[in-house]
Amino acid sequence: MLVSYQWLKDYVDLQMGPEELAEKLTMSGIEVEAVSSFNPGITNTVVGKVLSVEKHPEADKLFVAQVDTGSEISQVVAGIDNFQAGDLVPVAKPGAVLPGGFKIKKSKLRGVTSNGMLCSAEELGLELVHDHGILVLDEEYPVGTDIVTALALDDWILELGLTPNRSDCLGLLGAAYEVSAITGAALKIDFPEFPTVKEDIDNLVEVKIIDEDLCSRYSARIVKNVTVRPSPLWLQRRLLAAGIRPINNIVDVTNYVMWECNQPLHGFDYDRIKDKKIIVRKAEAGELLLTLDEQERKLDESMLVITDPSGPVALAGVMGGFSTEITEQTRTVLIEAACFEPTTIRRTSRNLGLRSESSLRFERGTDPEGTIRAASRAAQLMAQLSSGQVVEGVVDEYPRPVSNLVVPLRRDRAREIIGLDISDQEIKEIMEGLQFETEESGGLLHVTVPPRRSDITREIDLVEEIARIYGYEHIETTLPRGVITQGRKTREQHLEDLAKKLLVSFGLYEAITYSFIPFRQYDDLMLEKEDPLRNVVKVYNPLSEEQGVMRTTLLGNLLHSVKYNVNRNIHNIRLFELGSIFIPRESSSDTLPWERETLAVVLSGKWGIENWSQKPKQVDFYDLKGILELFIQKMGIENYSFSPVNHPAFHPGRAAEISIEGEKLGIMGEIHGEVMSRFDLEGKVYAAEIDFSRILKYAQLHTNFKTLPKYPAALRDLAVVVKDSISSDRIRQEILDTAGELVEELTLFDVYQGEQIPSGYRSLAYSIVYRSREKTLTDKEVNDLHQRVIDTLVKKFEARIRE
Amino acid sequence: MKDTLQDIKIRASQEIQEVLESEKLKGIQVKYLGKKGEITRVLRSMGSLSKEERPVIGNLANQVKEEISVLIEERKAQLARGEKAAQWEKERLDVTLPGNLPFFGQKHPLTLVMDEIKEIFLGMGFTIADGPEIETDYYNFEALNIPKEHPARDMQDSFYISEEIVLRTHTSPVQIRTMEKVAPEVPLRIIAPGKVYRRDDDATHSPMFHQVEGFAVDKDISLGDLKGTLLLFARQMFGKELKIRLRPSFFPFTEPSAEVDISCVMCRGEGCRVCGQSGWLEVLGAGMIHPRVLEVSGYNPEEVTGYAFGMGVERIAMLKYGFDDLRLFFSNDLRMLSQF
Ligand SMILES: [Zn+2]
Repeated sequence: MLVSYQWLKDYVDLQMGPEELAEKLTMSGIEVEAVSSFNPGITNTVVGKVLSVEKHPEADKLFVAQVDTGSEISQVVAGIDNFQAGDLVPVAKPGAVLPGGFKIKKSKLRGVTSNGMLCSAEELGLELVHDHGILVLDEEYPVGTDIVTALALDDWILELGLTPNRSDCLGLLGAAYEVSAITGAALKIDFPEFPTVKEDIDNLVEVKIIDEDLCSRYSARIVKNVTVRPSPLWLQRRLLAAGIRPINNIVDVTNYVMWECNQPLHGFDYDRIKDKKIIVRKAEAGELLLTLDEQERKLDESMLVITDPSGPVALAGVMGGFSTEITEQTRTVLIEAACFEPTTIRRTSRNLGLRSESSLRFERGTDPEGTIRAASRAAQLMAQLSSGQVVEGVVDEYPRPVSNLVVPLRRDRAREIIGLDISDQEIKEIMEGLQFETEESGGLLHVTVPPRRSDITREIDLVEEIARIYGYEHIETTLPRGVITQGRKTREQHLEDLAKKLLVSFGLYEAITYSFIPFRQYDDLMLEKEDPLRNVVKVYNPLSEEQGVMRTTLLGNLLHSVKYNVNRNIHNIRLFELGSIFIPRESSSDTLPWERETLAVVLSGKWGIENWSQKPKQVDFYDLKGILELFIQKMGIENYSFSPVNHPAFHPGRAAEISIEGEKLGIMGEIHGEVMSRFDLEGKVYAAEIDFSRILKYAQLHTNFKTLPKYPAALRDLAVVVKDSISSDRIRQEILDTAGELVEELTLFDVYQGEQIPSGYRSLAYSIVYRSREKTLTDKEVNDLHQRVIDTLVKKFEARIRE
Repeated sequence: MKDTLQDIKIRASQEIQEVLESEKLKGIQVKYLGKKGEITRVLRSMGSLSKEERPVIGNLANQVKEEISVLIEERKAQLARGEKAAQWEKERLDVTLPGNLPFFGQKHPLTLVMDEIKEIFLGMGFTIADGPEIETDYYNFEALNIPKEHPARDMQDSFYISEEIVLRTHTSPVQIRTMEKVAPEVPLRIIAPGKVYRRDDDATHSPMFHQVEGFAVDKDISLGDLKGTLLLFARQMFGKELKIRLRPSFFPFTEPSAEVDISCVMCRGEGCRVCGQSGWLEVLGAGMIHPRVLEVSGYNPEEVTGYAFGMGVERIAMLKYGFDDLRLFFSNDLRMLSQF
């Protein structure tokens, strides 16, 4: 909402400047987003009186005018002569600057000196409607008056960012009420009386409302014998200040009064309303209406229309019809001031893509009590500006009258909620400042709220009025008293924090990616057609297909992040993300999906920090596996295992499934070459994705401290040569099963294939620490135990022992 | 003989001074003090002396022997010091060469900011709550006093999954879910951080971003308490000197409602580009929980009151770290991530 500071002053006796007013409004809840000068950038331009106009002696298309600019008589050359001696025109004197930085100099045109320039409206930066050529002023001003003052361009525009509840300030009168309440300035809202012609208006028009729930009031007035022409400059200029383009005196008045009263109006060409009958009803499906913009609109039952017996003549509250439009031929105007139901207007304007200042106001809700005042104000202005006459009386259909609301207020309650020690008297004064009547009874203050403040319906709304008019800045700062509460995190929140801390300490950076992904990511990951991950929650109205579905995997996004970095020449990448995936529930579309926390890791490039003293190695499968193992262990999970698996996104021989106690925990491995090329990546990327909800399920953070060993340990090494198809995990498990608790530590310190080892075999070398918690093991005991281990491996795996 | 001893002493001390390697001192020791050394030789030849002279020369010889030993020991220590020093010199490092940095990752800046917010409120007795990112229309709108067709729905353009399911547009649904569970018990002090979604995408809007919701319900919570809580928070987050300002505003789920500004952290309130010359930065929306919202959540608004606030994490992170493009947060550019 654009508020002209000067225009606003018509209704309230303001004693402060625009900047101070803006600050006051903002601090009381009407945010002023900007204060800007209305002067489009005009200097040194004055009102001049034309003394004479003559043809240029040397040029057919030029004219020479003598103009009195107050200080002197200036000779000015013009390109047009749409003015005559006696006219007042804007004269830009030499040295003047016009909008756009255009500078005026003394010049010579075909031998004739021109001391400045006569200006058109465009040259002054104003979109006024007037005859082609120089702007001839339509009011008397002393010669030499600055044009900025004459046209009241020395104005300031306050741009209000209104919250949806304060639609009352979509009119200058509403804004004036607010300004008066917060500044104490006196209101001076007083529309002039006007003459009318005696005629029975009920004989001139009949209004019938069929759908009363969609139109609670319809008021109409008639103005006869109008002459449609451009509006006077003062009115056009005010519309420009409101951001509205002037058209003609009839349409301009409807807009002017809308800006004043927050009541959208529509002017019909009365003579083109069939049978002088107006019927307000829902449109019938398939009905057509040619709207003002000459578009044929197909209507349906959700829309409200103004009709005459021949059919729709306007789309209620949204746009008028072409057939009853005000034209230069219009002689009689019917002014409509109605109150329409907000939701209907909102839907209609949405569906047709027609949003206007009028529909905006109806959508927010207008004051049904204000229709007659607005219609009468418009009638008076129209008659005044178009040499017409207002017909006496108003046609007013008001099937559902509203009345003032009386809201009882407990002042103690207000003081408690705000935390403010404000007196009864101060509360009363605030209510009266808002022009709300009050009445004391039964210990309550009964506050009468006018319909223009439809946002106030209950006590809490009045409490807010008190707080905001009193000023939030004057409310004392306190802290909640009462029972002390203890802040805590849940087990899950602790575990999440711990997980991130661990991964960071392992050298990974945390990534955050969008929860929505393009569906084709599943193709890029080469997931099979029946892969359950393809069962996704679709976004009904995504910004683009790139954000079309809610992710069921984090892998694709992380691979994109790798690509993003590689494109920026960053090749050593180690990222993790901990976030939700969204799994649809089988049943209906109205149940919420399952949001499962998931952890993903990607590694690529070199591992470590390269400098003069150390050369990092390329990351490999086991770097990633080590991270995952230590992570799982540190989350207090012991019974996990890695086993080979086939997964379409991973290298067939380099992928492992991770599980805990038979439950699948996740997958890790080297990304498949084909997937790499689909993500436009080169080299190798290692990735893992883990169901974090299972980590949460099995995590055991309580540490049972084991007493330190009392008896000495015995160390033995063991190297076995076995077929390379036998997984190291099986050998490890066999050693542990055989030697039991006496194995304190088992380390695989070498894996070897090559010389001395037959092909198809490999050598695995272990160091084993044997120790008993009960006694010192003798050499014999250790040797026997170690021999049992050897014998078992030989027997089970046909192992050969390397000496 | 006296002269011989004097001569030995002079030669020995001279030789000792001239020695440069501690190894050679042993030879000198043998030469003068050894079993066949010069002093021994003198002592052995004492037989030719008179009874009176013998003890005198004997004493003198022992004295010289003692003196030479001391000189040798001193020289030995001296040489050892020099050799150590030479060794150290050989081992000298260029301490200005860069060190081998430990390998470390980092949390995302948004996580760092959320962690900080959580810590501050945990310290004030708040508990952390979570809620789903995909929400029902009821929790995201209806229960928060935003019925269908309410103009306030225009304030937040939503992503829909179906007619009744949306990507939550704010963390406020957690308010309702938590209150429903706990009502009518008080006190309740909760913060709820998380992802939220709105249909916007430019340098200052991301279709996904983060919010932290906070609220308290108790027997007599006031707007003044809200002011106090937020001031305490803002000062811990941005610095002791910080000021806050509450401006009346509108949210359907709070009343009275407020926009909360902090004094500009860039210019300390003087006015700069970041704050649009106003000296203030808008960082929070807040208010007293609307009685209707308390009611639908199972509280009696005549018995309890509450406040609620919500803040954008990206906004706070941008101010704290000086980011100018919101979208950078989700690029996962390691040049960005490794700066924290
Ligand atoms: Zn600033």
